[in-house]
Amino acid sequence: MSADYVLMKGNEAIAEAALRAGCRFYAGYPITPQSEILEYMSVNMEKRGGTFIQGENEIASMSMLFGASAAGARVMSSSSGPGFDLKQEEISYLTSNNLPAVLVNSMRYGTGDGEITPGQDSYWVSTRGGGHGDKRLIVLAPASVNECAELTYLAFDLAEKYRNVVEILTDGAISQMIEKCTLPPAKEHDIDKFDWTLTGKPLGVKKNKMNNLTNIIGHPAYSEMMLNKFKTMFSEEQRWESVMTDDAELILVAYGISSRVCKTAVREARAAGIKLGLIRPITVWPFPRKAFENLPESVKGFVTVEMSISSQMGEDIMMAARNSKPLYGCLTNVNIPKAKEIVDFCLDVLAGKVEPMEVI
Amino acid sequence: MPVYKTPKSIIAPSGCCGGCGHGIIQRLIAESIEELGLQDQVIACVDIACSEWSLDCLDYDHIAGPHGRIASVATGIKKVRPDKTVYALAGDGSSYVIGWTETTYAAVRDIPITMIVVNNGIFGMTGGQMNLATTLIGDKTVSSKAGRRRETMGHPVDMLQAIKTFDVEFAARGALYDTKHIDETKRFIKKGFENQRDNKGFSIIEVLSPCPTNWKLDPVDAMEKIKNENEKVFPVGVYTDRGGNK
Amino acid sequence: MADIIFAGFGGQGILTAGKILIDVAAQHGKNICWTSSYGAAMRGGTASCSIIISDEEIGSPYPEKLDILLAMNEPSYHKFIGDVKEGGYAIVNGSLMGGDVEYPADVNVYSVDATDIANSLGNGRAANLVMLGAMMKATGLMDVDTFGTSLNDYFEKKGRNTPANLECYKLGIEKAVKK
Repeated sequence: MSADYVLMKGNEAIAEAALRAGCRFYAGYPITPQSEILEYMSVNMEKRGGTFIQGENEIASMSMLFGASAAGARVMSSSSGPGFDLKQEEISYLTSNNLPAVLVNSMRYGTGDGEITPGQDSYWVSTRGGGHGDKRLIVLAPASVNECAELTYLAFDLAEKYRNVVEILTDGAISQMIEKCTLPPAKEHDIDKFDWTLTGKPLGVKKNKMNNLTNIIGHPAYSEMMLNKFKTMFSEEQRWESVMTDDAELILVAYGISSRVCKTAVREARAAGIKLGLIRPITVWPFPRKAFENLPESVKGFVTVEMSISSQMGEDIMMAARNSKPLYGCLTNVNIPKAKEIVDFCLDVLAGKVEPMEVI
Repeated sequence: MPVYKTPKSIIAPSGCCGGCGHGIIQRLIAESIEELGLQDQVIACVDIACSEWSLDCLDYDHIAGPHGRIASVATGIKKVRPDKTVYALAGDGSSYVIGWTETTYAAVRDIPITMIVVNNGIFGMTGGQMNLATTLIGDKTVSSKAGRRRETMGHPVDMLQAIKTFDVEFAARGALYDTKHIDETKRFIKKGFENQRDNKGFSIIEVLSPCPTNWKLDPVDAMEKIKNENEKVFPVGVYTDRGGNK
Repeated sequence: MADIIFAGFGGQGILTAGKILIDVAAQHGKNICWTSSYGAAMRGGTASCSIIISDEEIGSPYPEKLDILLAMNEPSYHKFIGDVKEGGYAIVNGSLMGGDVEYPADVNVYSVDATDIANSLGNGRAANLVMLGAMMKATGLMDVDTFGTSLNDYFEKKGRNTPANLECYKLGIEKAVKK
């Protein structure tokens, strides 16, 4: 950590990093636990010459975002749980037009209205969601306030590089905590940088007609282009952190808030002579399959630690591990996992007291 | 004697059904824009359904938005490019039914865009279903086969009466059933673009427009229906004109 | 390294006291993590924040066993005292504690009449600073004078300082008594 830090909440770090990345359009609707992003933008966006709009609903906010992105701006919106559901329509439209946007999903636990407390059960809607049709979102999962800033800054570049929606998948714990954070340098984005934007061109000059790209370039050109994009994102953008996996007997797999507790669990287990390791996905899509290549023979299985009822990440782990080792589920649903519980669970696994989990 | 010239902005025929009003409306938009000299700076936002056809016909940057959200899409574009002429062209299902919230708040925010709403009293593109806001009582559609009944389907509602209370720059309704009304409609549309040029605020122009295909009438009878029935419920004229005095 | 909870009524400056502590600790090169209950919990009349101060990378932001509890009212004391480690510290606001509370023998309990002291200085909202003074004296978490200077700087930076703030802090140091 550089000496040049600020103390900020995760939400504030996301908002400030977005502004520094040149984001000049934000529209959103309040919902706990991410409202500080909207509030921060309401105070700071106009000072940087951008537009802040508190939308009448998520759909309208996202449609404004869709227009602003098409017009060339760097754009962001944020929500949580039921609010994020409502964004799905325009994610599909953004995808169908190859438009970049950065969205934040700060997970609260539960189905329906659920709780306002942290959760990790929007993994599916984030990694599989995005509305109807074929689409892939790059989904970045910060585990610290510093990473909130770092990954948000990166998200705008990735969104532009692939002309794709990039999601910051955080949770109520990461969003709400204050830590030291090193902010990236401020930069400006040129709205006339790209030739695909709506600029209002003179008669006779070739116009951009943004409709479903399928209508514009047709099949199979569209399908081929999208598939290539998905494949490139999948192979190029896997990010993760491996902790003490070299000689591990059991490898924990966790992201976001759970991964922090897992780090403590690894430390405590190692102090007691138990060889735990951790793979922390930083991108949950693309899931870091590369992290599971060339793991040592000592690994007896994987333990996924998630705040959900089902293991939402389980399929991805099994696929990454090519089903080679058993998977155990340490699923704490509404509760934030505790390091001791994780270590105890792993001891039970190693003692053969826990059945492997069937991913359903 | 007037000389009729095709606006340079029109680069293809409208492609709509025979007797449809959309082609006339597209032409009025193009004429208004060119008469005001705005043709080199236009960004057009069209809603899903029949409004979308103009995407291929007019030589402007275009975007087709999610159904009902076109006022929001136009808001986003206008905020990023405030010096450009941004208009929204949408049907009555989009503007007054599924997207009523989005239309309302674009008006409440007084975004200086020009919004043109095609009131043909029906869902045209999807095969002629009832429009909650604009299908008249008794009108037969494929989803109100015995005619619209107030008791079970509610009644048509004049949304301009609501919009005029939102303190917008300009709200007016025109019709296309004769040349006098087409001329008047054009004056309203042109006024909407003038207001935008002068950064005055939100302007909305609704146009009573025929859909002979789904009304199952020939084009002339469709025009007669507008004159004799629709206009009675949806009177033409200026609903509000703030005259730039915010 | 310290795992800490500050708790009390909403309006007692619990969250602010926590933010002052992390601000100063961060300036002294420590890693810090502050988190509070949010949303509906804010309206229940109770407030608490968890703070971790460490030389190492911080794992869970939610301490499982506490080195220090700072309780500004009796309900908060009862809620969290069971989580304090053996040999840990509890700083209580004597002004709002009943006389019949039996303090555990394996926890170092310090009491200071924070509300009364702050009120006597006409700075009622600074009871949290009295508590911070008592806490520094009791725990030695940071040098009391250094922390006082930093605390004063904190309010100077915010542009809303009064000399009574530092005075409250100093009285906390002076008046805290071990139970």
